[in-house]
Amino acid sequence: MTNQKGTPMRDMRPRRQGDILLVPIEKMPDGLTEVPRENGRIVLAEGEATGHLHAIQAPEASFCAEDLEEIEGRFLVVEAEVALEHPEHDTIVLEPGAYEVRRQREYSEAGGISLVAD
Amino acid sequence: MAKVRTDPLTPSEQAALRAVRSEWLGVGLSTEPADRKEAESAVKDLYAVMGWKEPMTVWMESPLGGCYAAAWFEEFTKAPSKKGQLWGQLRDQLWDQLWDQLRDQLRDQLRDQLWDQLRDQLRDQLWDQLWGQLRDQLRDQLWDQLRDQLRDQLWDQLRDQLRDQLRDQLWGQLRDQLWGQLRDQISRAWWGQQDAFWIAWLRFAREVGATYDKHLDSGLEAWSRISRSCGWWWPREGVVILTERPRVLHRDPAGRLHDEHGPAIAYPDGWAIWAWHGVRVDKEIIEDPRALTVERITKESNAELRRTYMEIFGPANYMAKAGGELVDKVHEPPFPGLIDAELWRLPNPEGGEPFVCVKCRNSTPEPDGSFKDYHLWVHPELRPLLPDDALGEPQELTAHNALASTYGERGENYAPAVET
Repeated sequence: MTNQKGTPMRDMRPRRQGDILLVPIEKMPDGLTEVPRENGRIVLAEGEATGHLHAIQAPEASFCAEDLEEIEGRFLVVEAEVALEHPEHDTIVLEPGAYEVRRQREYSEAGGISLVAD
Repeated sequence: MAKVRTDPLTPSEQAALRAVRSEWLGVGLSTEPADRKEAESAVKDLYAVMGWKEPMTVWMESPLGGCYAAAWFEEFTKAPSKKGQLWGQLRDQLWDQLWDQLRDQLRDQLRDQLWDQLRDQLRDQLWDQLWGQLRDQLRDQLWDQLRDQLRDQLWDQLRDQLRDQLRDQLWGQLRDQLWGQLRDQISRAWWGQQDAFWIAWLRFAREVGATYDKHLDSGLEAWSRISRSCGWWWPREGVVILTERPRVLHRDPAGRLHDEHGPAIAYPDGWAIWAWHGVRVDKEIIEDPRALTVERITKESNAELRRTYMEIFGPANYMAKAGGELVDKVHEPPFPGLIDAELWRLPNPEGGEPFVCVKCRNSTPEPDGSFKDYHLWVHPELRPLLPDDALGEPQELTAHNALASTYGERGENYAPAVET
């Protein structure tokens, strides 16, 4: 989407790839730490039953965490269009901008809330 | 550095690429017994290229056996005071088997020798250099094109099938089975036949003009021969551990590990993996129909496994046996992720709050055109599931609100622009 001057208007609706939801945000929060890449890729999440990854190969993105020890509180900043890939889902092209990375959660009476593990 | 050519891939080269792919896919999926003579001779050549002393060879029957043997050597070479409990177990389990193979070759002096891990050297001195040289030649336009072609033809198809489907599954299974120290041995293996996709890439690049230094080229050749003739292998100083290929390898039409009645991969020593359309499951799930019960499905915490169980058991069968009640069904989905979404309520057998789940569908079809359905547990009042075990406010019982709650959203705020 662009306006009449050709400047991109950002679509603020979330993007979903399987159990990952990327919610566009205006800017990255302060005080984040970059999550190191694995074999050159950003790995947003890994499935334990299948070994499949939600991954970004391109260098034009950074994955950051409020706390590296926690899976919650993670953000992605994209500098130029990058592809988010997963072996079982179609690739999503992410436009430049900041995103909150949310994982799908499940509820259990006994165990409270947990991330959807796949 | 060789500067090769600037014209694009010719049609005959593209045909050659497809041939290379199918040849190496065959290598990666082979269930022929290892060609032991050829593997041993190729290993000798590789050691010679690397400037290492000729090793003795040990054969094991599976990657699991290979891990044990690799750990055995690791422990064997430690000073007696450093040998731990692991050594006792390994010695008892493996002594006869290894001693039979080694007694003719093993000499006292080997005991004192340093049995270095050669894997890192192989990686640094052969692997990284081959890739480095290839990368240097992959810069201009032709090479961009070649890289794209290779990526489509070899990376996506060969790698996904060999690495993601086979190697990662084998790896995952080993990781579950082996404890502590022994687990380290997995990451020290070379993958033999399942290295096929790397090798095919390096080789095809050479066919259309990439060049490697002579000794690297000889190394690639020896490597290719190892890959063609056996399964995983472990290089060490003075000894190489080689393993058999699987005897059974069954896949679904999409190329995922799958067998409805028996193991999807089995090795000569009996080590095996059971899988349902690429998802690894316990043996009994496949081989004993009574193993799968409503309770087991309900209690399975891994959503992918639960989905698989549900598929095997049949969702209608599950809901009928569990006393499920359909609360909401989406007829006009506002976005694709809600196609055929359903909200179900099930009585809690222990009498607490009812179980509520939303059935949602993967937006990306499976290779055969079908779709995967997931049943995800949600709060009985569809409170959004927030970080740190926090819950949002209750929502009306709809499938849309339920799906939104799994991402910590309320239904009115949840309508993704893209879903895959």
